[in-house]
Amino acid sequence: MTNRKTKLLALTAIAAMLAACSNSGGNGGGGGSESSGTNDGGGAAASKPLHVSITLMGGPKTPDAWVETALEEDLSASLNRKVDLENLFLPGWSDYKTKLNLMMGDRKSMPDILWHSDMEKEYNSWIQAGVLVDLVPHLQKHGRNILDYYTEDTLFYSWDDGKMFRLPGDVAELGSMTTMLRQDWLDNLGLQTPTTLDQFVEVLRAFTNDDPDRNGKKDTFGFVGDHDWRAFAPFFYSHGVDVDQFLVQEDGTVKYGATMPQVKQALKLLQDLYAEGVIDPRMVTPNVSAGDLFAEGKVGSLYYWVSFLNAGHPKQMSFKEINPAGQYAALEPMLGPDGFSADVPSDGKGWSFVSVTGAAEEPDAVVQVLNRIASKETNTLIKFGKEGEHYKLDNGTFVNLINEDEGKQLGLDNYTWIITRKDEANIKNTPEVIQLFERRIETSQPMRDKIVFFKSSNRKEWSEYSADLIKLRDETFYGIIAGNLDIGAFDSFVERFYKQGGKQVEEEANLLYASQREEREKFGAWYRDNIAPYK
Amino acid sequence: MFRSAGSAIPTSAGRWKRIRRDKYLYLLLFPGLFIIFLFKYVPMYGIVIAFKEYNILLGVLDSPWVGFQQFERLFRTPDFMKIFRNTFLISLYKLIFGFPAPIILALLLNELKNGFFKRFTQSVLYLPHFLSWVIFTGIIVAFLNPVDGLVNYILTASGMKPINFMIIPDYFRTLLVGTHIYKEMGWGTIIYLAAMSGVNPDLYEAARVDGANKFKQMWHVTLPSIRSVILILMILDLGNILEAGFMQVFLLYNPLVYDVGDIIDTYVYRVGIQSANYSLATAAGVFKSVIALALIYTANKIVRKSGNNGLW
Repeated sequence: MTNRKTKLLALTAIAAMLAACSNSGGNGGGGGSESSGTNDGGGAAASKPLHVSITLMGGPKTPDAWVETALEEDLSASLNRKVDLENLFLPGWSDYKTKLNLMMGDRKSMPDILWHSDMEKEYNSWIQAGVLVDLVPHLQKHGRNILDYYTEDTLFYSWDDGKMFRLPGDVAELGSMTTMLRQDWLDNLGLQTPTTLDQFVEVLRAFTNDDPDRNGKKDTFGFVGDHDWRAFAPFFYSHGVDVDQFLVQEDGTVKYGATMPQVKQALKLLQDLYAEGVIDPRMVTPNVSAGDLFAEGKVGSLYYWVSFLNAGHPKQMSFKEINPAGQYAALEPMLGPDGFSADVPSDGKGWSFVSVTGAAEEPDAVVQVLNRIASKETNTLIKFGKEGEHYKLDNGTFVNLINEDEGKQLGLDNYTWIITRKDEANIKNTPEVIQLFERRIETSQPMRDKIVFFKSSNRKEWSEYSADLIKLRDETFYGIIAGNLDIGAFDSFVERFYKQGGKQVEEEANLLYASQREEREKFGAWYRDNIAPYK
Repeated sequence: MFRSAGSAIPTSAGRWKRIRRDKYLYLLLFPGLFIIFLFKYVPMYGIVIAFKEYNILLGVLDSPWVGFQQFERLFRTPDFMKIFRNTFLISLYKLIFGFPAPIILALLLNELKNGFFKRFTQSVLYLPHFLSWVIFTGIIVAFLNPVDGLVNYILTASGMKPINFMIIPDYFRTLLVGTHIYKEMGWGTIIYLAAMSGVNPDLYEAARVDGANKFKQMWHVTLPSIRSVILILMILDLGNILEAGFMQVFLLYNPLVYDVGDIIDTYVYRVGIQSANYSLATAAGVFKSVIALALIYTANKIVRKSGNNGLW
């Protein structure tokens, strides 16, 4: 072995290691793309071009897509200057928080528009570090669309004692789920639409036992849902309880819903129905996909998303293909033994947010960009494309002219969750579905009045004890429903709940509830003076 | 490890001579060692966050010290004894039932004469190891589905009622251990087969002359020859005894089997999601490592005392 061979080997080894280690290439979240337009200066007004970097989490994350150019043109026309967007696509759900933390760790890598979700601790630290811009003065000047669209209640959750460091990026419709069942099965069996819980249970039994799809086989289930407590809403809500939330009691105190006595009645009912085979046994394990079962058509009733009733929804379309004669009808919430009924309310808080960081050279202009995105026309443009080219409106009904893959290629939905409108801008909703949404807002009000949606992210006792309390609740409740445990286990659950930290958790909840009501009043006054005049 | 032509020279001058003589082998080894150093040893300083209240924005150095508080929180968990018991039992069962399986399979494969069939079978047996648990549990769930799974289809076709296997606590650990063995058995045979092929054929010849049949040959020739390999792998497996397999358990469990299936890792995962408590998660990891260290050390000592080559 000569000296030259040694050197060659050493060099090869080092080169191999360096090649393996270098990954600085795709660090823009795997798709940072500059707009292709160069600064020609001719078309746009004399003001200098605006460069905006924006983190994006939703949609197909298509780089260099049609939608980017379309949005830039729209923004440039509206702001009267050239707008250049830099898309920073975030990685998947398990990694996005790490990525955002990394980006926010250094002023040079901070995006102008920061999308974030479920990062309350980090959000508070960013405010303390002073890296987020207070949006209020900018909104007063340029935020009319945003201030008109979001309600006072929604903005309360993003209010920080006179300042606002974030805006909701996506707020679910205030009532977005409903009881639904197979109308054609009801007709086949000659049954009336149920309005009370008892009638509902009878219908479910008939759906299970009386061969409603007329195929000679006993292969249908009365009820199914995803593996979460919301799916059982017709049973719990008719008894006036939500086992996953804190509820205000008759005497004004706040209690964890799962410990209320009415829960025991609901659980007993569910246990009986499960034993009879009325409830699909797949509901008690996490490996259930209610959307697929909805489409398959072997189940009579679900408590599910209103949007699934849209003719254009992929699952609805699959359902129609498999069951051409099938028909899901939306029902009013079932009346319980005490005459109470309600649908599941969304908290109106928003589950994801956008903030403007200190890296933005012109925060005023960035807010203008957000405001334009929040307009009805732009919202429709970036979600559905151009009318006539990608879709058409037949007497107000939305008809897709492209299929799902083409939509992904165009990048439609890339900019979702950056102030996404759920009103008429969401033209995919048929008029019937829009009515359903509005009705749900009304029907969910009784529960919205009872549930406490906490604003504060600083809930020490909850952080400490909730993981174990939730595990205890799930073990016990699913155990009862599936018949592994008998109904007496509920009482031991309540005992253990309070011994295992439930007491501290409820005390904290009561304190927070009181201080939150005070804060809400303060906000109401502030809103009147600082927001209302600018709408 | 590096067999050289001469006998071992204990002087330090001799050691350098050996290294220079084997320099290309060391160079070949260098990248792997470097990566292990970079990714396994350097991050070890992060263990300190088990003794701190880690705040992402303060970073590792500035987060406040809390001593053993995180460990106390871990042990104070109401179900900690249950969780610890589950972790220990699940991996103990995997060890007891899963350790002999690849050895037996390797013995069987070793006896195959048809070259093509032997290689084909080996490849097929390795395959499940390469599937991620995500895919594998998807298949398992599809098979055991209470409504339209294959197993229940057979049951109902023979007139019995369908069984929801996944929610029966008594079956859960069996399910974990069984599917684990199924997945890893083939891969485990590689090392044993390699060791078995190194057995001197004269020994088999001598055994046959003495009248040993196939089984006696396996018992008296093959197994003793690979005894050191078996012991070393057993020590390593013991070190993993608190590693009950997060991915598999997480994907297969449900609230009805928390009692028997919840392990340290799934518990820490849930607490981590709820409160982003990295310090607690690290404390659990440190706890597991300390126990693993104690076990490996003891096992190695026992093995060496009984006259065999240990891990060190």
